[in-house]
Amino acid sequence: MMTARVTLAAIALVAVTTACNSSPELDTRTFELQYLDAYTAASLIEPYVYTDREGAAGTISTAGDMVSHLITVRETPDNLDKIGRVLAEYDQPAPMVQLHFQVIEANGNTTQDPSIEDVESALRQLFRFQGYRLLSEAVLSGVAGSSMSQNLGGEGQGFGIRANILDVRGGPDSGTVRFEVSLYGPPLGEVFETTANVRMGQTMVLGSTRPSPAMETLILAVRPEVMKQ
Amino acid sequence: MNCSETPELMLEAELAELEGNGDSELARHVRTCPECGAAAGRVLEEQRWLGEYLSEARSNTPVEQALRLAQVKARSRWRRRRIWQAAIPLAAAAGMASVIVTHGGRNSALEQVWEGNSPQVERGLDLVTSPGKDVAVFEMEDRPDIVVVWFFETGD
Repeated sequence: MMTARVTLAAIALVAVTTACNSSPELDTRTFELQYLDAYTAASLIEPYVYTDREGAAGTISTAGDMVSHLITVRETPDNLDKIGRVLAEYDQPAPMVQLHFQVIEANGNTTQDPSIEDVESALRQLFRFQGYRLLSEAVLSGVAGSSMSQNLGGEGQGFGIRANILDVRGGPDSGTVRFEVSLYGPPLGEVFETTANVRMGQTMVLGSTRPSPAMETLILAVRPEVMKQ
Repeated sequence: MNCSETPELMLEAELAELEGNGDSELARHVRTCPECGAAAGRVLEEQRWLGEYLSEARSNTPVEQALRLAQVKARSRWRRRRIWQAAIPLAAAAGMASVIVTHGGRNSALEQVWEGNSPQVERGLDLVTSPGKDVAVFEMEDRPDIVVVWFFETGD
């Protein structure tokens, strides 16, 4: 009887030991982030951290608050390597986008204006205005989430441009940017406002019927470009 | 015949049928149903205007006329075969690959005859406009680097 008890205890001990040995060995690594905040990074790596693993739960912790740039992860070495690769892939600066604006007046000129040559040739295919002239131009830069505005001087009339970059996808050559843009002026109020997806390098030409009988037709050309990092 | 059947028949109808002339089912229905008769009348009116306009189409197009054409196309889209065939000479002459019209606001006259529930600008532009504004989008075959978006008040 005694022998049987000893055998059972030995089996139990072996079973427990085996169970302990089957838990993976965990390691701890701290990642320093350059651009992502810890909250975003934690969301990103959450699927790689097995917090419900019995006997060896993975953990994520941040130094201080969630907007800090340090994140510490306890996981298996393999998973830590994966997490390192994921963070390296996404911890990148947000692409900076330049929006090139030109405010053009239709019927404002009968000679061709070389500064708006590209846009003018397209407009001449579509419309029969007598001519076009550049009233003002501006370049605004920002990343996704940026709101920008600029007042532009014109001859006897001031304009303003507001732009919000909502989303930037893809690279400099094949990417798109979604932005909201409006043209306004104190004597005019809002001439027009729109939100659209535009390919990088493509020019979106916005126009409208005359804002007032005393004014000529206004056209706003906007071309997004990704700035090289 | 009931009113729900008329839109499909109007796609292919002869002008005389839309005027209520002849003995076809559609002509008889247009004669007796005030609502379909009015719809047929609107189509005839736009068709006449379009015919007159296209006969004078030139190599480039004043903006008001281009927009007017775009509106006509939009209103008449359900009568697509005749309208789009008729519009080809203008599109080619004006260098336009397409003119697409959408609406920031509601236009009941347009909604009565629009083919879909929600008019959309196509090709990924995913344009949003202010309420009360209509918009025509011009895309040119030879200038894929430029898209021209023209706003006008709903009902202009």
